[in-house]
Amino acid sequence: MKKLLYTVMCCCALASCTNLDSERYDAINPDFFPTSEKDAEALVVGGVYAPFRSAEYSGVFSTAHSFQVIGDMSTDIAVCCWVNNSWIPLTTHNWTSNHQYTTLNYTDYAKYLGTMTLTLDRISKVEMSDEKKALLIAETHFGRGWLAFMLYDFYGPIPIPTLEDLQNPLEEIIEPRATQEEMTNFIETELTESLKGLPTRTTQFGRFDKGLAYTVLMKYYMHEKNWAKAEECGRELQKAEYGYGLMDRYADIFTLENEGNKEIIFACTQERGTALQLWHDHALPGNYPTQNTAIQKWDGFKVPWAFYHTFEKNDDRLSVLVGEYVGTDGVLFNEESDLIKHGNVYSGAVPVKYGEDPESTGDGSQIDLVVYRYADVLTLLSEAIVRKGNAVTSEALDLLNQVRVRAKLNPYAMGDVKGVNDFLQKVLDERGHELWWEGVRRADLIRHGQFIQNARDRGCTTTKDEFVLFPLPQAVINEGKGKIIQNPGY
Amino acid sequence: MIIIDGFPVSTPGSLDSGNQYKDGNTDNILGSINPNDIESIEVLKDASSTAIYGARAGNGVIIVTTKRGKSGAAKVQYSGSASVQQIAKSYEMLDASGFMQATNNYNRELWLHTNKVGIYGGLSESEISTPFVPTYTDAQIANPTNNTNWFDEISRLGFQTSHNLSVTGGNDNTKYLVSGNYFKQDGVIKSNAMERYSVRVNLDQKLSKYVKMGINLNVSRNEYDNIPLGNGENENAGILVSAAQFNPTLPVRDENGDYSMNSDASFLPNPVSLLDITDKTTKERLLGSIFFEVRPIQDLLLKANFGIDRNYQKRKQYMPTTTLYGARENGSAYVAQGDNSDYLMELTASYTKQIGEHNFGVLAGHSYQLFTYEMLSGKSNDFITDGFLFNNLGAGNAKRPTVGSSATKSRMASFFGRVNYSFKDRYLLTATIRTDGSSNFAEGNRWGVFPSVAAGWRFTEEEFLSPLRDVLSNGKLRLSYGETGNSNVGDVAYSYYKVGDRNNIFGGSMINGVYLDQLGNGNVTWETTREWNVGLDLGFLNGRINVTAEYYHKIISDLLNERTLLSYNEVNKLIANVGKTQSQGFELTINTTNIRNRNFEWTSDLTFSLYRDKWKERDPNWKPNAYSEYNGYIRTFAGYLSDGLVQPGETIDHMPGALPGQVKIKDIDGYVYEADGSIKVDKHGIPMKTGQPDGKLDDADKVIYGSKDPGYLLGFNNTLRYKNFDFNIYFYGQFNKLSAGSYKKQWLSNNVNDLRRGYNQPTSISDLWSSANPNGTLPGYFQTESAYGTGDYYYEKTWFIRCRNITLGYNIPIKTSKHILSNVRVYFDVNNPFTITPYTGLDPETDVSSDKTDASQLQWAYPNVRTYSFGLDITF
Repeated sequence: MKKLLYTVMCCCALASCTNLDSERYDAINPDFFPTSEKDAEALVVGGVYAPFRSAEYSGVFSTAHSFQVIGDMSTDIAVCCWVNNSWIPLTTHNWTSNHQYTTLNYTDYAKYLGTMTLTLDRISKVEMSDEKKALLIAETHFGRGWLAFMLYDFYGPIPIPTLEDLQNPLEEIIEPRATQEEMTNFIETELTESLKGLPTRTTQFGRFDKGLAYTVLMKYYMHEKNWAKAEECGRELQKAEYGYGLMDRYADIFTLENEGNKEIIFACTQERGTALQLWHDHALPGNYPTQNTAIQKWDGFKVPWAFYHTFEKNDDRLSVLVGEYVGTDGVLFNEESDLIKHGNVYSGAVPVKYGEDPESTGDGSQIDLVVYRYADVLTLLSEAIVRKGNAVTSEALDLLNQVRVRAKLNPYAMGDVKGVNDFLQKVLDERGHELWWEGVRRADLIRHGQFIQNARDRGCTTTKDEFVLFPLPQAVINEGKGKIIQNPGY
Repeated sequence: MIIIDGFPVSTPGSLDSGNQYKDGNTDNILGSINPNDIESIEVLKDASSTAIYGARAGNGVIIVTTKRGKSGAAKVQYSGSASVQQIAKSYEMLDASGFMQATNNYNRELWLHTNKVGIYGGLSESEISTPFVPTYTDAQIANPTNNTNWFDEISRLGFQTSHNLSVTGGNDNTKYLVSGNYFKQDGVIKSNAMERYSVRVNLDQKLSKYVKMGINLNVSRNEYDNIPLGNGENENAGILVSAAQFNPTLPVRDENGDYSMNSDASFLPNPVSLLDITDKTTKERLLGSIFFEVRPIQDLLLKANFGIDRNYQKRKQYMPTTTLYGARENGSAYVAQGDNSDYLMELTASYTKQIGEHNFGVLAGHSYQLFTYEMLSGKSNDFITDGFLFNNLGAGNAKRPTVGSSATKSRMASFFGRVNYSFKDRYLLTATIRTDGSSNFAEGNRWGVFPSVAAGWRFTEEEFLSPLRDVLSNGKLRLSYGETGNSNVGDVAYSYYKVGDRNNIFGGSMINGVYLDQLGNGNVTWETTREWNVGLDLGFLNGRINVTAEYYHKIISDLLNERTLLSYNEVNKLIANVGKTQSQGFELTINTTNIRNRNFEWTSDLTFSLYRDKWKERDPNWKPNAYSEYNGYIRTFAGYLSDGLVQPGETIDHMPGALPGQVKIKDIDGYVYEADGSIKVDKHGIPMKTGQPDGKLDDADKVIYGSKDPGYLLGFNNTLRYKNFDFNIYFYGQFNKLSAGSYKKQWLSNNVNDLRRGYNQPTSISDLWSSANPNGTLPGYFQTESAYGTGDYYYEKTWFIRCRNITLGYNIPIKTSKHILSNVRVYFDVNNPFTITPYTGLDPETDVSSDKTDASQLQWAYPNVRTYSFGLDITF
């Protein structure tokens, strides 16, 4: 018996355990990462490219709430007929600092500026080939500049954290908003810096390149009304080495067969299992006939009838902006039936835009989501030339006509143009007809000084002159404890 | 924290469904224990008594002790019951005629609004070129072709049965209990079912005069047939949401025999089709421990306990091609399995000594726990047949089948000691000290020390109170102070990079993206609860009346919670010690024996309790809203104040564009601005306010409506016995609880404009304000177009008294002791027979909708059931 007693006591003594290590096997320990070129690239993909995706509900180009969709929704070009609080305040210019969709891209993606700053620091310490390092660093600079520009366009100057702020997150160093000059310097420097390391055109479609960087720079200069610099960027992109051109047919730009076509400057790449875009989910009515009946149709996004009527009848772009169809249930859809069903505010033509993904199994399409394309550059260049010289040139007219002719419309003759203002109005209108739901309308209207008036003309009684900027999220104002000042008008 | 036979068990949770439907199914550890095996359940609340259980005991301890064998002839007990269940109260949705009428009413109001007629712009109907055309004719409304009640189609009478058999026996050296249990339930929603099999063996064996050992073993297998009960909406709508919303003018199946679809909402699944999903969960639990007790000398007991709690679960799900989303993927199958195993080693030594009227007790011990988790899952789609279900994942043609796995380990170690002393059973003193270490924290912050002390005084034992003994038969005053720790936050001390969901496609090939997923907090350490507890036990008239009053005051410091970092950080939240909270509570229990004689006995128990949880100190980096209160309630509802409905012709300056019938929101306050345009804040960072309306609505106009917790709780239990009959009725109630409004209000307001796409509505739509119903009390059709919501329009203090159950039992008299049966009892029980409440939803206690501030997250709770049971207990 004593033996047993001793055994138990020995067990007790031996078994006293104080090992308190925790183990997690499905994540990466920062002590051993990043160490290689592959690691560095993975960090750039996960920290720099990630925000620029359209992966279902992720990314600033997610069709659920992208910069483009939210921007367009505040203009005459777009509505959502779900009639809910996600979209109504944008359509009616009644947004506030608490409105989710107005502030969502700030709330969810502004932090990526910090991620990219940290990524620059992390990859700079990794040993790899100079060439690769230069590329990854250029991509990171470009990502920072691009994201900063999009945020600046929506919200004005924002707080830009320093590397030190970011490396000491628990210190909670409140950064006030950058000044106008700091903000624009930051954007311009980052974008220009990236040109040093980016290839002219990437061989891996989906990566950043100079073509994209010059496009963003051009948009930035247009925003800053620096017409000369914008023109330079546009002319750069016309160079043969970039290989950009217009597709023959408008509808062909947005199909599966023509992914990566010559008109596309940047697209969010899609593939089942990695990323799917939700354009058709949002845009197609439930009874819209498609070959692949599995395509999800939520009956959301529309182009208001008033804007639809501004198209010329024979405009080829109407082939994918559908004003009339017979539904799968045999019911005719047209303006008349739509107005009865949806009323006259949250109704409109169907912005089909994209081709079908024959493999779609419900939510999501594998067709690359077009972010920027050459028609945008050509028309902006046309505008920049005219604004710079304050005269309509035949080159500018020709640039505009390239887009019109592709849409099977008659080109404008010089005699059709009644002065600079008339020409600029024609560019604005043409860009509306060309780039509906591609996210240029808000910036265009603001640049032309028409954004607020356009809203008033639609009957928005709550808009204000200050609404050319959206408010910073209320949470950002709150966290600033008085140091972060809201935009005027809110 | 739940302790079963000395084993602190954890709740493993459930694997998710693998499809877009969230789950409704939850269960707890007690689901794997046969209720008939339970000898006692003890609830410990005050910090001194929970102290010895350490780290996870901060919120109290439930100690479940199962029965053990007794020496003597084998005793066999059987108990069984059979029950039927019905939905206690169902959702009241429109029938086909009502739906068609409501659609016409909505479309007419929309037409008036669109064309600016009457209150929407002053035009007259005759001025409008396109006249209003109702969607449905009067004839259609009078005689609907179909009138489907979707809830009827998916619900049924529930059925439940259970059988338990136990055998106990033994002799001086060996004692045993063996029991088996079978339980089966067919839920009130079709296809929703559960079966449980469990076996328990408790064995005690004396090895020698000094040594004893024993085994506790509980094996259970629970099988669930799940249905999508989640609260998703639209394409993610589960069966309850879909049944509520599906168009009642549609038949269950169309003329081709396929499930009917609403072409205006081609993404909303037919509720009946969701019953075709095969979704099974199997949970197997092995809770076993072996212990040795050595008593080398009379007063010293050494004990070692080794145990494992293994939870293995598997989920298998198949969406066939007859369901909307199954068809789109041509069949979708998912299999997942998870394995949670907790290991325990506990060593204790206790010594007791009695010297005269002094009693001493000392205990010292060590425990060590290891927690492991492993998970594996696979998913594929596009199958040649529905026949495989989830049993042939490899046959799917999915381009990239989904696979997943994960694994973690964590640990906890403790050393503890306790001293008891009592004198004459009159003065009682207990002191405990415990040190716990947790792997959730970084080295240096892992260990916490938690002392506690309790004193008791049985004052009725004192001489000077002896004259009162006829009236005051028992009196005890208890006072305790204790500290307990909490480390239950997961592995939060270290940063981790993650890979998987930020991949990208470059040049047609996929490339991994890695990102920081968790920002570790090396400073995080134990949360400590310091609790004072005062209790008074009084017994009158020889125990005929017993009163217990309890007051506690506790402060939780270093509260473990999410801390939001500045928004510019790549990971902008982490777990940290964030401030202090303060709770106070009072509980009163009165047990009375109202009547007691040979044939008749009536006893009552009345309980009353209330508690208040508030913030005491906030984190220095707290980021308050304009309406935050530094010392406010922990759980609150907040928002704008409402002021009735906007009337026709009324313009409200601070609500430009407001439409008649929308909720009017009050402008009550404004920010104080500095010269540079920034908001002036107080020392805590809370924005300062002018106290005056400022002509606009923003956070300055929001207020805290109140706590989400109930004002007070009551319970009232009565047991009557007359000869061989027994009768029990139990009520409990919750009072003064703020509710955000039922589905008849909040949900209607948020979804009424879905009539345009054929979503059904609650019958309360008849109270909706419209130009045709200007006395309607619910906001109009265009409420969702308001930028300011409904404020506190629907909030109300509500209460309920629920009759929890009524039981009538009868002990069949056994005349002779020679009979094979020694005891037989039959009973009839009604569970949840009725509830008294002014609340208009299904159930004020369980409706999730009544608890949500964000109306878009209103949920459709599983309807509560009323159960009628017949049961039989036999002892042989």
